[in-house]
Amino acid sequence: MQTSNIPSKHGMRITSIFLVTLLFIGLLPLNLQGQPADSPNIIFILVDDHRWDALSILDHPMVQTPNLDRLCQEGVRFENAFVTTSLCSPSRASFLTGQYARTHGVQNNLTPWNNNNRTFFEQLKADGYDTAFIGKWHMPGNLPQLKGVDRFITFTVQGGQGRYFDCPLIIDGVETPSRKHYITEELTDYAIEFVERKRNTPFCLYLSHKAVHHQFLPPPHIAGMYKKKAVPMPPEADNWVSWNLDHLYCGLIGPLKRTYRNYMEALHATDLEIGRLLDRLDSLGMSDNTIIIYWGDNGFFFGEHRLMDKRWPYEESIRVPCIIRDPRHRETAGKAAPQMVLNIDVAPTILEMAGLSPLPGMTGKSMLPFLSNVSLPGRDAWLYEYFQDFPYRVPNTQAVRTNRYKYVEYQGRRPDELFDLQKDPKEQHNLMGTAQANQLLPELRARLEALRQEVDR
Amino acid sequence: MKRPHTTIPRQSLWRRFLFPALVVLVIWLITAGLYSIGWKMFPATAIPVIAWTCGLGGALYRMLLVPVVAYPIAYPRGSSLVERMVICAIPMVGWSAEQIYLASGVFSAGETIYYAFSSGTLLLLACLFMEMGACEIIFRFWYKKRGQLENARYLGPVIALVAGLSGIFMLLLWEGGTRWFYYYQEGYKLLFHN
Repeated sequence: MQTSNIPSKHGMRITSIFLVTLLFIGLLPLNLQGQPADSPNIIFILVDDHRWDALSILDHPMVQTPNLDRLCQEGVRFENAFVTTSLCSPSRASFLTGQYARTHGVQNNLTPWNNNNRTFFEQLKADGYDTAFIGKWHMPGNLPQLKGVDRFITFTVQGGQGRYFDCPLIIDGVETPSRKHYITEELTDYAIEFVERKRNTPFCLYLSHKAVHHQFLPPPHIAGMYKKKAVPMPPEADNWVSWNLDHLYCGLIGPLKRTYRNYMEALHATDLEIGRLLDRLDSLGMSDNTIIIYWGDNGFFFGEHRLMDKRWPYEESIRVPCIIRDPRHRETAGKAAPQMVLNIDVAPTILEMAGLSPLPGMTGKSMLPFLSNVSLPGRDAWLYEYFQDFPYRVPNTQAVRTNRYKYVEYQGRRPDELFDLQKDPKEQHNLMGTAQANQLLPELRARLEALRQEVDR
Repeated sequence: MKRPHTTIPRQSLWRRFLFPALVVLVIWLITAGLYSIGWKMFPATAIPVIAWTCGLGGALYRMLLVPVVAYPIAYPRGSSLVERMVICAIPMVGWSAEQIYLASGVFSAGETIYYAFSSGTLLLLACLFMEMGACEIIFRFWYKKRGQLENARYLGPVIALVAGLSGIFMLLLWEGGTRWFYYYQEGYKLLFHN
């Protein structure tokens, strides 16, 4: 019997249907970018020293941040977001690990990163994410061997702080001259190049800006933009407050008003670059499957308590902006969430967004539930810690911050402090030694001790 | 080389040394004290005045103007170079002592000693060298011109002036002082973190 190698019309039709079905099944979980539909892209944007109230959506008298405002309107703004240590390196390590400084070991700007620390990148990579860390690393020691990071772009000049202008980069271990004059534009370019890559997997981008750290330098086209704007100053501050304290090595010896305007102009420039990234996501059609998480790594004093810089446990220093735009949760878009959230919550949040469980040892809690319901109860207290960082004269500090009170224990000669944040939001009246303090202290001290033990467990 | 010889009369210890030292000290104490507590004591309208006079003025005085105050009083009264140095160093030593005392409440003894060489204290020292060098040159030149100083030497003051300017550049102007600061921190890590 002769068999024909030419398929019959019927056979061809069956084969075609089979192939089309296969193709359809294969494409089903993919969106236009060829990514699994249930795994969103995640972009985490970290801005240095961005204090919580420097947003135009909060009616800030000077700075204009239209793109961050847009994120607030399209996402959820966490109005009580804090860092557990108000200092760059420890805070950055906490974002990555979901742990307190006492656990991950980067206690100040001098103690090195431990390569055994586990970050959320590891889990994401194992789950098929394409990953990139772009920007400021700024943890002491050699550059890390970050497991799970495909692309690592950073800088090491000026002790890892980087330079605002013509900053050489280290790209996957190779020193590379700058392509752009201004660092924020340079990092945004690399971020956009990363998101533009053709890929069949979701991605996670960690974009960590040098701005708006000192020397607070805006790009030439922004410089002077706020020159004629009045600088709001707290009653206890004056234009020369930084001259009479030991702020020489913070690079803050200039008049406060000039420093303030420069800071706001650098922040304005950062906002514009964030806008450029958002616009590119829009034009690529990726915004509907890309979560944006925005945080500051710590706050900043501009004369409050007659202080500059950060580190101290007052609100201006520990409170930061936090915005999450998750296109899967449009029901809460534009809302403000009142829960106290922490930098250590970022890692478990990112993992849960990707459908993954937090790593063992992560102390933070996922913020994801608040994105669908901003009225859910949050934590009622948390531990703040600061480890002395030579030569800054801020003593070792531990504090408990509740929704209403803040109790601070300092090591050394500085007396402890207790503030009623409801009645005294500017923390001007230390209640220690009053009858109210005597009544409150046993519970607050017990709470502080319990939090310490909880973290140490 | 002939030794310098001056015909400026050497007045009493009080007039040539203690009185100028007291003037320098009192100005420092008043400016520093008023600035640190003035904002609590005076009405809000007075605070900018205090900030400019005692804040900025006080800082400039401490950094740059002490020899300008001290030399016209001490030099014509016959004070020696060592006496002039002590007089001019009073605010610097006082301010640095205060900073070091505050640091000792936070850091170990060894760290506190290293803290004494931080940018703040070294900058004051550099300013002092620069200002004293300049004042020595001006006053020696002036009194030489008046015939009250023979064989005036300028090498030492010029070296002090150049050293002071170099220090100011290193500590304050070189990348806004940050370059020196990172070297200082590296030194700290070498000494205390190994």
